[in-house]
Amino acid sequence: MAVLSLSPTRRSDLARTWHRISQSPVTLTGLVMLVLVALCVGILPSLLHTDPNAINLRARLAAPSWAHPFGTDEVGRDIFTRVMHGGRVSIGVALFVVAVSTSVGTVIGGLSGILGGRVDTVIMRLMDVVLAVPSLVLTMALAAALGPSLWNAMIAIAVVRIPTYVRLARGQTLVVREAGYVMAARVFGARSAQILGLHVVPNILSPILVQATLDIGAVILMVAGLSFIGLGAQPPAAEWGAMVSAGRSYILDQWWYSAFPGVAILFTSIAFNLLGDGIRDLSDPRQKGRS
Amino acid sequence: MTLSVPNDPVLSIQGLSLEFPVWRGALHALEDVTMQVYPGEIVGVVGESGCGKSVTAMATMRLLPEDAYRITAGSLHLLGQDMMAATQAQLRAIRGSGAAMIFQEPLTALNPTRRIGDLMIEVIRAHRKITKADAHAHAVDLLRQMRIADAPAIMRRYPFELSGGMRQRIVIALAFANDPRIVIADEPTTALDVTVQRQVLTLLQNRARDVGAAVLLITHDLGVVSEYTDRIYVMYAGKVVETGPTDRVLTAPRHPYTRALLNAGPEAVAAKSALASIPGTLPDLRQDIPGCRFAGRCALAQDHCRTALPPMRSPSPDQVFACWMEQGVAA
Amino acid sequence: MNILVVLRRRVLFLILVVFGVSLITFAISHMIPGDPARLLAGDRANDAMVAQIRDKLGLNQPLYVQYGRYIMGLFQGDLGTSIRTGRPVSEDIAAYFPATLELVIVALVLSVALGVPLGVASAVWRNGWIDQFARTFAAIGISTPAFWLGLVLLVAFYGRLGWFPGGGRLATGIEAPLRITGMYVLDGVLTANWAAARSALWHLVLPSLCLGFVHVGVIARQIRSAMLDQLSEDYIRTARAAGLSKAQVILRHALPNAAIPSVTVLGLAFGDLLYGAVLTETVFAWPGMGAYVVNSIGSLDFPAVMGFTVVVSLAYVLVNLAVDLTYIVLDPRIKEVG
Repeated sequence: MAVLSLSPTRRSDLARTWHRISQSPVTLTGLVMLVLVALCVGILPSLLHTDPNAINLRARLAAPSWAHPFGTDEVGRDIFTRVMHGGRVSIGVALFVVAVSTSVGTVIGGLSGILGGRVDTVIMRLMDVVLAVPSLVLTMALAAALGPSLWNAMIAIAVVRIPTYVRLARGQTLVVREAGYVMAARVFGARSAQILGLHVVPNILSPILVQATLDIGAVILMVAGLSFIGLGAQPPAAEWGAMVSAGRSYILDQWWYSAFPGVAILFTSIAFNLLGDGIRDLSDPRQKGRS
Repeated sequence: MTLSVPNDPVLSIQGLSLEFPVWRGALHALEDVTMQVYPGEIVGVVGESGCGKSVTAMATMRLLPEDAYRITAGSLHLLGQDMMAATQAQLRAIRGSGAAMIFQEPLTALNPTRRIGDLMIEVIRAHRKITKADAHAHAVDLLRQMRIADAPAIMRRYPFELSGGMRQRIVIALAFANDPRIVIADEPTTALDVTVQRQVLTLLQNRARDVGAAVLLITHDLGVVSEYTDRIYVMYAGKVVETGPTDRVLTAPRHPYTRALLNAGPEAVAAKSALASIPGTLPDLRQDIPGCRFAGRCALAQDHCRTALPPMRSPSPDQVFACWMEQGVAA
Repeated sequence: MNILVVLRRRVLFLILVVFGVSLITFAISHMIPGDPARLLAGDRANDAMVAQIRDKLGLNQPLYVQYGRYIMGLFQGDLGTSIRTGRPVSEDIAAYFPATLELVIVALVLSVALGVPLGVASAVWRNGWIDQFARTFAAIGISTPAFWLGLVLLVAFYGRLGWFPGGGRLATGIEAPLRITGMYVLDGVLTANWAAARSALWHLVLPSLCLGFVHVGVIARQIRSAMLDQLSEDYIRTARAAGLSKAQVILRHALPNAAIPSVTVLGLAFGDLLYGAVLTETVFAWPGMGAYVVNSIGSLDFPAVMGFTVVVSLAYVLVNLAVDLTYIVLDPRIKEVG
């Protein structure tokens, strides 16, 4: 951070970053894909004024055509429209979940790192135990216990992801804590919350943001997976995982029903993962330029 | 050892310029470097860290990562082989056989999860068609020649189980595994205790003299240079600034940089603080430097030193230095 | 670090984790909105019957007593009674476990066999086309919804091409081999029941491909990164300077050292594979624990879901303990220091 702000030519840093992104076709692909998703999911549905739940019994299970690019489902709803609208659910949920687990995890991990001592030990042991359990299974169990709904699935996913961020934030905090300015703040009697907010959080953010970007793709998959086994979004909600699940019974004859929502999950998740990968490479100089 | 050996040099670097491409430009690591090593002689390369001596060593064996550098001028012949034009098979045949290399850090230079014996046998058999048993016997023999007691037991050890001095002796034994004609030693004893340093260097020197191998000894330690080498090259910022017989260069240096190094004293150089005791900073190697690279820190520098390349001067047939002053800094 | 010291530390942690898992599952099953007694009693039960069941389950006692009973039960292998099947959960899981294990093992072997070479090639020709391909492949792998991939495989290889069966563990008309391990391929081979072994293997192809696909990329990525670490080490330079061939340097020097830290990833992958099995088994009608738990979720059978969670967590922790021990065995530095 300090190096960046002290460097005389800030603009050339930006130029260099852009140069490196443009040198990496993988990162660039991720970026382009994400823009495409944003256009389709964010803008297209508003422009078209279509209803994802409009039923048309005369066009049931129709194959893809000009009128219905992705075909229709068993009550004649347009799958293209539903996929676009479903994206709002899937991506919105993923962003929300990552935001919640990131912020809660950062606060707990940051406090744990600053306070140290017994509080730190207890918190970290607790996190170790949770992390020692296979996280996807734990998420499923938690979601099952809370009851089948999208909201409960979100809570389950967010809660189980918190320990990862606690650990990450604590590690970073320990590094920052030894830095001069935090010591100084302590000497001048700043409270833990102040130290956390003013000094620690801004300095530990970058690795956490990288992790969060990489996580979004995983959360999208998790939401879809839970919906697929009936624990997330409930029909007739237009959610990608639930749509794949609903299309399962028709898979051998009306392949498009499950296929297109699945492609949407895949496409979006790839976009976030490629981008996250690229950002990680950029932020970790050790990964770059070695031979 | 006289310098007028009629043999062809085992290593011949002619006007070599090498750069590393970096963001919007290139780092000119070596500029017009010329060096010769003749059979059986021990040649030192001295300079501070960053002067290009390690790059020279790596380039000699073509061990620099292929996509990370460019040769912009000059040539490099090792045992008569044009190293820049060599195929992978030709490189393999030379490396570890006719030409061997010893690296600085003996701990990391050995594969941590491979037993000493396995590594030695592998290297021996990479160059000779012999049985495992014969290779084993040869390896034990090599270790014994490095005064390693209980060599068969050492063969079964892992590197982390051995002391630094012991590891470096093994690295040297490995270098001599296939009767090299030249050994390139890049700061071979820097990581070791002073007392161990002498032992290891003496072993290296004796071994080289015994088998008639030449040694290119790269170091920043003037004490080591004066004790073990016949001839030296002094490098500064990617250029050879002075060369000649070790005794002559160290007693009557001509280049201001050589004198500054000597004045800084062997202790200062060994502790890598020579830079601090010579005022000024190293030039930025990304820039084109039209004049003498040392001009920025030279107390005697004139205006033209900064604008034009200094000529090579040869006060006697075997000493060469690059300076605008006709006699250099000779008293 | 002595191997016994490590072992003791790991076993202590294992006990801590088992307690932690039991606490988590206990908490989860007690915060569920419904009344377990009423669920167990069924819809037609009257209040008296529910009260009786509640009493029998000890639901009227203080929480710590209930937890004490729960954990005592766990240590005796008592995971409660399934609401859906009416049988002890432990028996149900024991019946379904081998099918899942078989699937997970084959998927793991498959992903290692494909992922390691891909990762090595990716590191060696860094930034080359194979590296770009491997990175893209890895990104696609971790981005692919396993349940959807399963459906795609079904449509293509069962629906259209008819090359592979569409679900289950054995073709109809073929009887399961004599149960030794519960894994049909292995049991078939052990009892020389070749027809069953062949059929079981045939049925494994699509599900294990589906389950393993994600991990090919994960393993390739790990191997790539570990290989890059190793390839920049000094000993690689020594090996090259000694004239060893590129293949020797990569396969005999860099790869063994890169494999050591990568073993840990296999342990972690095991956890993801167990969850992946839940989705894969659902798609391929594979009669394993995953399909069992999905059915249990559908009928709000909490003892079964929590029993599954406990068993899977325990298996996961044990596998990772085994992985840590393997690590110690593989790396001479840890074995003999101190």
